[in-house]
Parts: sequence; C-alpha cells; structure tokens
Amino acid sequence: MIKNTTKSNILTLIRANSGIAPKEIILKNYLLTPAIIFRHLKKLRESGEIIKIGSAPKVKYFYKLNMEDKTKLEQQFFAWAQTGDPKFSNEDWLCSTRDVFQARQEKLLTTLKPLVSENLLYLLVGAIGEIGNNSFDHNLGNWRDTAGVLFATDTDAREIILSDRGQGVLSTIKRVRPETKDDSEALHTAFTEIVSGRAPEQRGNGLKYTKKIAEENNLHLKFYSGDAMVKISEQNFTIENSKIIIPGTLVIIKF
Amino acid sequence: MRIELKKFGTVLTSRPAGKEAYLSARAYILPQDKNEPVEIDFSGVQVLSPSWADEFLTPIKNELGNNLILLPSDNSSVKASLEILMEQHKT
Repeated sequence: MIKNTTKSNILTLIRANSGIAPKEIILKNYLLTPAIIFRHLKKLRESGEIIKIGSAPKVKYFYKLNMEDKTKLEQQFFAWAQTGDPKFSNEDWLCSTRDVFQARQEKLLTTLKPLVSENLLYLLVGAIGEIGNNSFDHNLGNWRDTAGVLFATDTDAREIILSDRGQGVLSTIKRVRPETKDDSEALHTAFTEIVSGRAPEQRGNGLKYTKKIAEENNLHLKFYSGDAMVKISEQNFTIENSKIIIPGTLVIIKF
Repeated sequence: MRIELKKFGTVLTSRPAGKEAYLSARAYILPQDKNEPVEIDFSGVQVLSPSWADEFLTPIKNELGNNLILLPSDNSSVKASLEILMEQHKT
C-alpha cells in the first residue's frame, strides 16, 4: 500500500513537472532513499507510464502522454476544421484577428504557469505564437470561410489546440515550390527547410522552431494539413497519411 | 547605445509587430551614425519568437553589421529564437 502511494506520488510529481531531473525528484522526496526512488522510476518506465530521455548526468523523466484517444475538445476542433460549421466553434476560442490571438496567447502565460517549468513556458508560448501567426501570415484575405484561428487550452488534458480554415500548407508551399507533389511533401518542407510561402520575403522559421522546441522538450505534437499529418512524439519526427482530411490546418500540442 | 526590447512588449511574437517595432526604432531610436555600436538588451522579455526577431534584428544587422551587439540572455525563448535565426543567416 505504502509502495503504491510512493509510486503514485512520484508519477504525480513527474506529470506536474514533465522533464524533471532525478536530483529534483530526490530533493522533493527527502523521506525516501535515492535507491527506492530509482527503483520506482525503473518500474514506471517498464510499465510505460514515464519515459527517460538523456544520459547521466543530464537525465530527465517525462510523463508519457496518450496521443491516440480524442478528447471532447479535439472532437469539436476536428469537426470545425473539416466543416467550418460555427456550431462547433465558440467565441472564447475564435480569434478573428491577430490582436485577439496575441491577447489570448499572452493569457496563456498565466494559464500554464502552474503546470510547466518557466523555461518550457516561454518556449511553448513562443511556439504557439509561431503557429497561430502563421495562419494569419499565409491566409489573410484568403480564408475558406471563417477568418482567424480557433485556439483553446485544456489544462486537465494538458493540451493546446489551434486550427484555421485557410488554404493549407500544400497550397502555400506550392507557390514557391511548384514541384511539391502532395501534402506530405509540403509538410516535410515546411518543418525542415527554411522556405517561405511569402517569398521573396525572408521567412519560414516558425515550424522549424516549433519542431525543435517539441523535440527538445518532449512535447507531443500533431500537425494536420490536407491528407497528411506531422507527428512528433518522444523526439521522433514522422509524417503519416491521415484518415481525416483537414482543408486548412489543425495542431494539437500535449505538454 | 542600448535598446531595451522590453519597451516594445514582453511577449514579442508576430511578424507585423516585429516589423512595426523596427520601423519605429529606425525612425526614433537607432543612431544616424552607422558606426555607433548598438546593444540589444533582452532583459524583461518573456517570450521572443524567431519571426519577431527576424523582422526586428535582421534589418538592423544588415545595416550595422558587427556594430550590432546582442547582450546575453538566460531566457529560453530568446536563446532558441536567436539560434534559429543564426542558422538562417548561415544558409
């Protein structure tokens, strides 16, 4: 019974401070010996509840997130991203202009402060800013129907979702790389190369930055556009075909 | 001279905002003499994105070259954005 409580306490600590170093876990559980803590960490890894990244002395433990089951919020966002039907949206989520998006992005600093480390907080809000502003940069005056970005945070599920009813990544990338053949190739270009759909302007760092932040901080990201999806999970970057077709973009970040 | 970025805001993320900040700095803050070193102070900035930094810093760098001095910062988003920007300028 005591063992289970200890294990559960360690798991709660890692969930609240994803990316925590073993030294901090030991400091916060000073009544337990390091040997006991390491034994529990090993068991939690074996049961797939946490993952370990890095090697000594730079080891960090992360809470393992479930990326497969859709939350209620995700279901609403997918429905809106696919149809544009306002019944799936609401005014607390819709940022019709960049100013509204900026204000809600700044509010995120307060919302996420109790949930993540200060370092991760600033990186995460920066990445959200890049994703949301990208929607405005590439679709201003060219939305399919609703103008702006749908943007919400679920602190219980520890996720942030953004979506737009714009033209999608392929359409943007094709303007500078007409040879781009499909959504997967367009997403690959957008996430790995410095290339902008707004050439000759020097742009195109936003998604590279987002990829870097996600990979280095064990964030889980899914970025849908067209019939393809970028997935970053446990530092692996992959592009898959998606069964769900998203005309603009839809992004889920779990932290 | 030293430019304190926090005077433009503490969450610096969008391209239009970065461009607007540059134009304002060009008109009212940056020295006329391009040989005068300019220090960029990031203290007090909470979030800096590569897009804002690109719009603000790249044109100043193009004008001043080595006379643009970026002061060190502990902020994670400042460090990550400057890294990405430096990578861009290498290509």
